[in-house]
Amino acid sequence: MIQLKNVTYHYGKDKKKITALDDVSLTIKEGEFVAVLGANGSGKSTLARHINGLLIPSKGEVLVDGISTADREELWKVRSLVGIVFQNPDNQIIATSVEDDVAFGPENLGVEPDEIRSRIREALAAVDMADYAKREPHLLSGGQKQRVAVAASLAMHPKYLVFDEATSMLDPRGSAEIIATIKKLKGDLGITAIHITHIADEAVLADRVIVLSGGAVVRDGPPHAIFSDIRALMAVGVGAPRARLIAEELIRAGVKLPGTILTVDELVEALC
Amino acid sequence: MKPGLAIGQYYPSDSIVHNADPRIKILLVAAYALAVFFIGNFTGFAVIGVMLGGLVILGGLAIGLVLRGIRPLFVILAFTLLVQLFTGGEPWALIGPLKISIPGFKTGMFLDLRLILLVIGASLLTLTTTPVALTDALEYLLSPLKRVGVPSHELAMMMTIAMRFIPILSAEADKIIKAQAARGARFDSRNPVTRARSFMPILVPLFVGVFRRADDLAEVMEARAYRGGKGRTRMRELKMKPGDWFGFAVVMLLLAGMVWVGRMPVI
Amino acid sequence: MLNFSIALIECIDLGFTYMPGTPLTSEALKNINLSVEEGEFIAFIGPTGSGKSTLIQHFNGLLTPTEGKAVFKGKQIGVNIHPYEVRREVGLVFQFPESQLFEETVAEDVSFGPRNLGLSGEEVSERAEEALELVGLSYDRFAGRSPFELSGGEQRLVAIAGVLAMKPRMLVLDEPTSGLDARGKARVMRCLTELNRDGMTIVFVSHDMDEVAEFAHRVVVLDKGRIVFDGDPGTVFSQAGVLKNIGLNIPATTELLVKLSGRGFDLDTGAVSLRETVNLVCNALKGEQRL
Repeated sequence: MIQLKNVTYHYGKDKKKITALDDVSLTIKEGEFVAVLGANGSGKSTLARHINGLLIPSKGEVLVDGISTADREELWKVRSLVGIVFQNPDNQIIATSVEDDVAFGPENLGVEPDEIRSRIREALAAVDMADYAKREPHLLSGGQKQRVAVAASLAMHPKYLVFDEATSMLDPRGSAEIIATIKKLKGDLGITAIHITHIADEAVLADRVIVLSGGAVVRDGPPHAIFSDIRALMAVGVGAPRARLIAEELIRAGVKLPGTILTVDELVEALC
Repeated sequence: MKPGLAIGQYYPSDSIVHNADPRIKILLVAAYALAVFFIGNFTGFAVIGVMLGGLVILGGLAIGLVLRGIRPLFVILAFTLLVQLFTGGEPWALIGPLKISIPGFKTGMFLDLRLILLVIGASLLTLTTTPVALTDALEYLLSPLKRVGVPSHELAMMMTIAMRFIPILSAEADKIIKAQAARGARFDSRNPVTRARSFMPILVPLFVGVFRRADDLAEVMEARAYRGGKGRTRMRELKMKPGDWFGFAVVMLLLAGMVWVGRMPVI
Repeated sequence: MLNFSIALIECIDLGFTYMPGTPLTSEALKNINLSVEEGEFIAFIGPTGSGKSTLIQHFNGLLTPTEGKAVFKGKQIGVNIHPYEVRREVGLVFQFPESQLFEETVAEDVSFGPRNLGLSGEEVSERAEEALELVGLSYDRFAGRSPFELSGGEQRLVAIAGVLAMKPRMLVLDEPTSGLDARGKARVMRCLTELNRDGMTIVFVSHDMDEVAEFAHRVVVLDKGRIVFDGDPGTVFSQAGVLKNIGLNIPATTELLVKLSGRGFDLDTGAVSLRETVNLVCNALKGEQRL
């Protein structure tokens, strides 16, 4: 379980102080697939960096399985419990071959060489990259690079995986690969996934959506409830799912439709 | 964008040369470089050439691939030869003010060959050894220096990262140059000051990009529990096989023999 | 020869091969025949590696075709007209253009292009002001600020302004909205629509099919370096099956119409914009007396 208790975080100092997170309290349970949705500058990446202790709250605390991220002694435990996949596919592969990159985390944790090899096999298989172990990272597509980054986290045997806008620099195929990977990991390994995004159509796929604006949680609930009020979402700079926009226009034109439609398929069902 | 194959970039294969211990290979290249410097005649070079040829065949490499490494040296080679040709003592013929010298020509060829052999020897190492293996071996070879304060792990880490980011940064530089060219930037001024200044619109964004990447990378490494060399294990443990010792001994003997032949005062 | 309407850009049997004659050679474009008329609003779509970015770099002479030719207003680029001349008329905005910002202030950065054109100081600052206003950034508020402290969306707009300040006839953009949030995307697309309304020719590459459906007047589809479709959005997106095969998505509007017609609705699946789609669905419902 991940708990954020009244987390506030400031950037900068004194006069130039900017509040990136403002009294955020949240609980994320094991096995959940949570989307954190927000416009640029809403604080969602700052939130992501708090979950594995890359940032420590200015006020309040973050607990991962009961361990405070502010506890320097336990920081490495937190880092192995919470994996994080960042935005830029080019900037998160450290080594010059895929398998060596996946080995990097376990090596840091002091895992034995034989165990590292079996973890690499498992992790690459989990993201469907088993055939690429010996490849050089710069010859992979964006989606493949991001999947290597996922495998690199998995090899540390985390319980929680944070995807910090991991799809935003990918083409549609790459994004689809990452989304499919998230679902598979959740299903097969029971990984708790926290997907940080500004794309409403991606948030729809989660079990739970948390909407951030100005560093504060403004909505929190299942997708159908969150997207029922798209005007409120527009107001905080978050778009609506595309099918929802079409449904909204149809309703305005006099078609009777439920206000909870999120996907094209739901819309087709409602119209037929 | 197709990333180009850099000179001497790793060429994957499963040969004896590829599988030899990288530490041995590094030590041998160092010994080889010394040997090439000690050899004083063409016979020695011929023998060395035969040995290199043997290694190229053992390594399953195409001759063309190996020779490509010399191409960027062409200007230096030509320059060396010309300088020696015209200044190398005893003139053989005169073309206007220029004195052509036969011994000069010989010296020029000799120096060129030495350079060519050095480069080929070094590129054999990089062609048959992965960057990962190279850095691992370097870290190992430098580790005795840890006691006198040389951060061998950190040096090896830096090398890895540098190698990893070379293709990325060259693609990025290419893109920025094009983007500024699209805004009318010209890089062909003859005035050196204007020319130097015209590179600012490329250098500034490139540096900004490098620092951003460095930040990103630091976060990634921290998130993957990196805290320096302490307490770290390695997936690849370097282990010497009997064959490695044998190969080492054979090549060392060959080199010694060549130096001996090469020091003899005959041609 | 009389030619009453000369196309702005013409590609004639254009082909481009990276590193020809080496073992790393790769053919990026083949047999491209295409013309861009003044005032058009065209989207180039295609899977990654289909040659879109390579193609648009021929429009301002950054790349020279290895086969065939690229022509600007009747003059072959690189033969009858120097690429530098073409770059004054055809502005190219690369993907993530904010990574090219380098000056200390927004105004200075936007002035870079006009200064390269050798304009007077006064003209340069006039152009910078005009260009910033065109992208919807107030000169007074932004001119003196450092481009590096702006938001991602604002940086993108500054970079676009930097190209607009050259006063091109045509603006070519490689994925102008990628990575931006909903608000940022809307700002960029609104800006492009307004520029086009005022007569500028706009060509953009996009992976976002909803965006293409909503804004483009013509769609060119590339796959493996060749043009597979070239037509109005309705016609192109009605080829949903082919597009999916080459790895492209279709807009949500088209998906809805295709699925509805599969369920027995009598619909023309060639509509793409939100408004057209809503009208079609309403008419179909009326036809079945459900509305």
